[in-house]
Amino acid sequence: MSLFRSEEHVARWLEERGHARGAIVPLSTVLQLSRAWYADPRAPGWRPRTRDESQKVLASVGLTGEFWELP
Amino acid sequence: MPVQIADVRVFVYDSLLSAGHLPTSAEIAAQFGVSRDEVVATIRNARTGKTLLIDPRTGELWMAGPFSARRTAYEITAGTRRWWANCAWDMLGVADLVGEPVDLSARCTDCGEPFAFRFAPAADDVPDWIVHFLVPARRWYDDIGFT
Repeated sequence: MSLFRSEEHVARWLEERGHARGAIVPLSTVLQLSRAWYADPRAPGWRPRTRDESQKVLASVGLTGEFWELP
Repeated sequence: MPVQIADVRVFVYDSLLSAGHLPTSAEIAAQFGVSRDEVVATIRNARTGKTLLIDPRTGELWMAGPFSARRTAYEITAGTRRWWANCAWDMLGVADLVGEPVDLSARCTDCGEPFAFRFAPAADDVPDWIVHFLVPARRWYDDIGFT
């Protein structure tokens, strides 16, 4: 999950390394994702999320479709 | 009495957030009066994924998600405390967990242009940059380091 200035920079970086394009997400959406994904691990009753719970978190910020399907 | 993973978790994150220090397995053992081996086994057996992940080669914490044990390109600072994150996503996760204004420092992965941003708790505005997810979600846990 690497930071880039723009899509043009992603395209150049991928071409230079021979990687296929994955998914591009605005940093503002990644902020929403991080807030939904990371609870404070010190909180009483904290437990790891289940796979389905994690999938719902992704969907809650609009990350749906095959690329975002967790194993 | 065996050390409880919940107590280890609170100790690790308290150390990280209050002092910017990720405790070693020996430091965790000393805190709870148990052996280092017991600490390593307790964390491994808890299977909390990226939340507390032991490096199998060293027996030390590799990640305490979203914090990285190692210096990375994604740096978060608050006064004299400094943390690193494994990726852009985790950088924002650290910023939110710290819960006070922090300075984010990273670079464009392509050209190296600096990214520097003062992040305030509960802020919704972030610079108009983007994040590229190279690996599809079904493979995120195949190789955490590469992902």
